[in-house]
Amino acid sequence: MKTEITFHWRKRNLKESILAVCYAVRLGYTSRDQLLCALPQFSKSRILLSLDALFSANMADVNMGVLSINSDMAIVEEIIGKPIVLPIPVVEDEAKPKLIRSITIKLGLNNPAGVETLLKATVN
Amino acid sequence: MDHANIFKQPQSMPEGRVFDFIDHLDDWLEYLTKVLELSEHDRQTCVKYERQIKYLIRFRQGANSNINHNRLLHYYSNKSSKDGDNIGFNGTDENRQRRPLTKEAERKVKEIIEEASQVMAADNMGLVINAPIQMGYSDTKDNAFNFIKAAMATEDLYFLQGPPGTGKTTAIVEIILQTLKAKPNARILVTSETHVAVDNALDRLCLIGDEAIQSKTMRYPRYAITEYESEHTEGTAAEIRANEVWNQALEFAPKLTNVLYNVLEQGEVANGEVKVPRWQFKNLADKHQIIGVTCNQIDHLLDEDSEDFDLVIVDECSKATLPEWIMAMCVGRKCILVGDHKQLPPTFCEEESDALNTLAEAKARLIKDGVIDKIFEHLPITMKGQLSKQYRMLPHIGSFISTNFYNGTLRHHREDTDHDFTHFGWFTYDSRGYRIPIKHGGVLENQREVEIITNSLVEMCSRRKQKATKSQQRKLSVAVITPYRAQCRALREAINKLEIREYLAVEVDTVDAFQGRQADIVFFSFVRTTGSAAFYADSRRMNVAISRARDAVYLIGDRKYIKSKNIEVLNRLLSLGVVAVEYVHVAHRKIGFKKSPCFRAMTCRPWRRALGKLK
Repeated sequence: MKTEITFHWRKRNLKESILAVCYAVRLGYTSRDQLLCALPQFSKSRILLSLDALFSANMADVNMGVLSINSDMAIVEEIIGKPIVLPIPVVEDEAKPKLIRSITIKLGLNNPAGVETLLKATVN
Repeated sequence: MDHANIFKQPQSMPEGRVFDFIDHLDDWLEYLTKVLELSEHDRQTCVKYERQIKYLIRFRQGANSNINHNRLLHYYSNKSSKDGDNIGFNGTDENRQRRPLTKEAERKVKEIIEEASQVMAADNMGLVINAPIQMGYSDTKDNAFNFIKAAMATEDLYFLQGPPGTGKTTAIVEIILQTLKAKPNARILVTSETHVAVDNALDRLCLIGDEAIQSKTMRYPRYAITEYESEHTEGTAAEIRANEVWNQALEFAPKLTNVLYNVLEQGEVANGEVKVPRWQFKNLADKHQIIGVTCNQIDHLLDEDSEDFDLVIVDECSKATLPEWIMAMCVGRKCILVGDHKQLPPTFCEEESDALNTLAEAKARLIKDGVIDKIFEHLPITMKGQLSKQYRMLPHIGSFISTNFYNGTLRHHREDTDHDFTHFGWFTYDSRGYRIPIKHGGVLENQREVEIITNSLVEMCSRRKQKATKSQQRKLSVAVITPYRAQCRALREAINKLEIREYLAVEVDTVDAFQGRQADIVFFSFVRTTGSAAFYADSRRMNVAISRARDAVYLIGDRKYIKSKNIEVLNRLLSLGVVAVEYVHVAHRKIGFKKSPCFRAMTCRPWRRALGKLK
């Protein structure tokens, strides 16, 4: 018996805009105006909601008007939607949150609570 | 506060048989669940019904944009005329009668409504307007602008009834322009059951509106029409807008745009082209102020992160089913329903009819007939209006429509036309020994009527040709309308063989398909010469068929058979004159005309004389 853990976006409506904001910031579009010009595919309100989600999860930061994205987001982008198979027996429901937390930490994420704010994990 | 203080009209709670809107919503839910069961093999159709159920439940629970819509619809559906309108369940299903609210409950409801009203007052959509924006409303005798004023002044709900050719599209455009003038940031949804109605409204808006309006407009996903009034219309299609934003992004941030194009979810690939993904459309919808979409596709553009609309305009609302217009109403603060309940109600496919048959007769009838007419009747005068000047039909056709379907309330704008064909009468024949359908349930195809129509078209074409040698003649549009699909096919086949395209643009279709369109000349083929005439008995169907015509209507059928049916609307049509009577040489099956050939007769009987007879 194996356990499979999969991470999904909590805000499915915003997954594209959150990713787009992260990529844009990494490529140097770090101010409000630059972001809006670089991402005309997205509405202002969805960019705003995405930033809100990232700030709430402590995955984005503003310093002197310059936006930056937490390096954890690179790991988040990698793990999203891809099932992680664990060589352990199926766990009880009560043990699932603990398992999820330990997996996020062992994946190298520095802000596991923030990741859990953005992502929802299903354990089967 | 008493009800009488809230509404200006003196009102009392209903007496006798009533139709309860909440019960009706429940009936729809029961029916849709049944259709869902019957359509389980067709996933795409199921999605449509599931979506309708979702929105109905949302509305039923009061989770729509404006709770006043629920309150108004429930209140005005609950009033019935003293004589009773035979739409309710009283006496047949007494357990469905709602218990009256207790004083305490009533007080609490009022408190909640007052609190909600205070919150919403800041965003009041009751707008006062002065002068019209479009030139067409300069006629002081025309009441159209007064109704537009009333529609603008209402806060929550308005019903604009627009009989055929009364300028519904123009009114919709005026309402949009006025709303944007008063509230430049207003979000407006233009929706309808059909793509064509949405297309026409947005096309006209692009024609009248300036560049700023055009840039705020978006049609999801694309236009169904191929010929536009405005050259700017086509560019407002969402698919084109999507390309534009990606190109814009590519110009500003090429590397990022390439990365995003590869990383983000893209649409399916069909015919070598990548479709625009749903998330992209939702973002585009957020970015545009005026959105055009059919009722059933509204959900494609909205999710819980989308902003609601300030104004929703539902065109052809009488042709939409209740879930369709409720879906639109759910997403807007203010809703203007534009339509005409004297025209055709929604149509139901085979599976839908099967599902209806499982319901109690009264429920099924109410679902099938729609409730818009009943609500319209009960609405106070401040929340409804009827456009009364028609711009389509010549007066002799317009008068018939007005007298027989609109209590003589229509006035007529046009007085003359630029061609000879202005009759409104019958091409009839003797059907003795000629049974259509041949047997009960047989094919409804009448070759004799096909021949009469094709002969007439050829004759018409030759007359246009003769005239064209003397002066420039425009191509006349001809609608050949019939209630039955088999006859449609036969007519199309026969007409396609004719060489008349240079002078006549002929379209053949069923009555239901023709709603919302018009033509210079209309031929209506009755087809049947025996059996039931129940299909014609619906006066709304005959209203639509005849009112498509601008200048002439030719009714093709056996008058004796139609007379034998003794149906009110058909009897009124029988009072019209006979243009020509066909005789048949049975031995040779050759068709000719007993009286002088039809179009010679036409020229010496101008429509004014016919109008005199009508009066």
